Amino acid sequence: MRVALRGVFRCGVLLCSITLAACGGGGGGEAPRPQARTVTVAWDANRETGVNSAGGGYEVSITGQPPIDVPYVSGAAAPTSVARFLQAGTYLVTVRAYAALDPQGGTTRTFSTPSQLVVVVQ
Amino acid sequence: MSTLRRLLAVGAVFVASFVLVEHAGTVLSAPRPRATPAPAPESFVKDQVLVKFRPIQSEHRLSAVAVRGHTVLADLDRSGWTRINTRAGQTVAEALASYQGDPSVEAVQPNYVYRALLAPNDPSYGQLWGLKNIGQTIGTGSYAPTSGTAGADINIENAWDHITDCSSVVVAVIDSGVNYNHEDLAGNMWDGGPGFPLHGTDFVSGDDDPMDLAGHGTHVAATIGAVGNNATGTTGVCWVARIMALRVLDATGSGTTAGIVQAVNFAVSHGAKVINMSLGGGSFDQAFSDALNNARANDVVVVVAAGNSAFDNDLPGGAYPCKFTHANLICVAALDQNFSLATFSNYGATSVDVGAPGTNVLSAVNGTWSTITDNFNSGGTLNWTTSGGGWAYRALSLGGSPVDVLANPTTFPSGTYSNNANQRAFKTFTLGPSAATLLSFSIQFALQPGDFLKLNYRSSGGDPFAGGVALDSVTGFSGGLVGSDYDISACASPCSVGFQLSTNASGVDQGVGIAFFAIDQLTLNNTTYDTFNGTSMASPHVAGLAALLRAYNPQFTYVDVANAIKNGGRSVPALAGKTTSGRAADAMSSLAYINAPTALRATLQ
Repeated sequence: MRVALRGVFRCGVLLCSITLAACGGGGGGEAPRPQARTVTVAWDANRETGVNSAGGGYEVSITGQPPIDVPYVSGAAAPTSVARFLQAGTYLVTVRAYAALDPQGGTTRTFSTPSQLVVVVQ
Repeated sequence: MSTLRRLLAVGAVFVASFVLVEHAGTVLSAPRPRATPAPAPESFVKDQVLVKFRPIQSEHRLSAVAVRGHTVLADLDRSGWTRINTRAGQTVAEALASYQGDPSVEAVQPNYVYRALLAPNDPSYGQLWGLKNIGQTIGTGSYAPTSGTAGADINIENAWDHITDCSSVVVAVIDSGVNYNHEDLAGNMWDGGPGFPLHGTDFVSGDDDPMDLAGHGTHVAATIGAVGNNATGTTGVCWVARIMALRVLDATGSGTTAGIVQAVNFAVSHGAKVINMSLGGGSFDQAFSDALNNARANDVVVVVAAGNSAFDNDLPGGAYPCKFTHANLICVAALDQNFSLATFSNYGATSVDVGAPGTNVLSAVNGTWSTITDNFNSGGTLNWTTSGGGWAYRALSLGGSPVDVLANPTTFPSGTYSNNANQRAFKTFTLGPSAATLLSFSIQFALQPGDFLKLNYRSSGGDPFAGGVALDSVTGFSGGLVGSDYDISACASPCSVGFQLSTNASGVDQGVGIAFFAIDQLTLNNTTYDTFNGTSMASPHVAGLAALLRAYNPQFTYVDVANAIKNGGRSVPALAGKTTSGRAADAMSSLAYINAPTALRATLQ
């Protein structure tokens, strides 16, 4: 089955949404049918050294999914994207940055506040 | 520079005994290994455990590790302890438990984390309550209280475990200059190259020598970046720094828009990324604002003092530059040793950003001052040379307090002076060699238009109104006793100073009363420290922190620095409703502060 994607991306001050739908290619008035898709979530790199060094990284939250850890591995910066195969549905996506620094001087992981929310509707 | 001092590592023996005392329950014993609950998560390596195998063949040990999905990282020594990397996604507690019951394992434990806790060896470090408050009494303090609450400080020691060296960030101190030869600053001055061999420049005298003739700028600079851990004096927020000295305030502590604007633009164009300005005035200043815009456009953080008038800066008459709204500006109020707002400190829910230590702050100064006073003792004989009459010592109540004054007329303030008067009083003082000589006194006056009190000095003595140098001339009403300072460094000893009441033919008034007369002489030296109060002292704590943050996070913008200082500070009740953040500067919290990721987007493949 050929699938055509229609995408609408809306972004407000506090919330962005990407609306996705799959269309059957056979004609004859077949109703659009949601399909599972790979969604790539990306964000701009943080500038904190703690995020972009050992013990740092990001945590991506997608509703209904376990948190996705995106740790710093090597190089100048931690990765800033992650891909997940998602079933049809509506998903709220946020990302937090973290570092192995805490206000008491220890190495307990400290998180940022969540990023702006993105809503994915499939 | 050397490194540590408060060492846990007095050798491995101490470390080992610490393990036994603090974590005795986690070292497991034969014959049956017990996995214990993992300790606090910050105290061990998250993906490692240490396993002590019984004497077994190497391949058996490797097998025991591999079957758990672990890998051997290293053998620690011949005792049998091995450092092992755990399976991805497995907690340390789970890893410890997995070895439970294994007959080849004698003991297993987390790989604990030990950190050196940095504090410098500078002998006066114990007096720097703003950096480390243990409730100590500041012996040289003049602001009550002189002792306070342990922990009410900027939490810098924890931050020093991560960074002490800010030398990648040039910090411009726009002030009265800096004694760049001071023992605790010389090593941390900006290298201006052949163009600026004295570590900055001077916009007061128009030369390249920013030597501090007031003492204020040196104090500020050393709070930012006195050389740390050099067994000398104090330490700055940054142990290693690059301080650019830009002199805009003269020996009396006074400067102009022109000098400040030049200095800001100089700092920006010569690579400074942090500017401290512990100075203020009472008016919006477009040229000043434009200079701050230039700093912002060049990603420079500007830290300023809130002011010392116990005034709400949000109101008309609030102090500038604190009151400017530039996003790269951080305005700082002063806190005392209990983290209460200092009684003198300005504040402002929309204009002042954070608080920082600003009372009883010990730091380097430019030298020592010697003082010559004249107490105008009303019980004594007038020992000023007079001509034309009119002058006398008087014992008065001014501002509610008894004060001895040099007065004109002799009945001041109940009588009136004479018309067509030319009445002079002068005195000659023997001065020693000095870097700067300042004349100060307080004055109350009520003079009709056309009537003046004039102030002159003259080198080599004699009547200063005959061939002397005019310093000032006032008329009108002072509205009370007001202080005045003058730089008379050019007056060669013996130096005469004089007052002249010069009146016209119409109208008379109460006249003048002069009190608290003093001549202060500065001798520069490189070993003096002093204790000051003021938002001027609070600001450099934050400027030092800004440099520390930029040094630790080289990619930081001014926005990141401001966010980390304001949002990463410590909430302090005394600052709630008095500042934009309600927080005091907290170095470690700011270092650990993380901005939320931005520009999140999702795309389909």
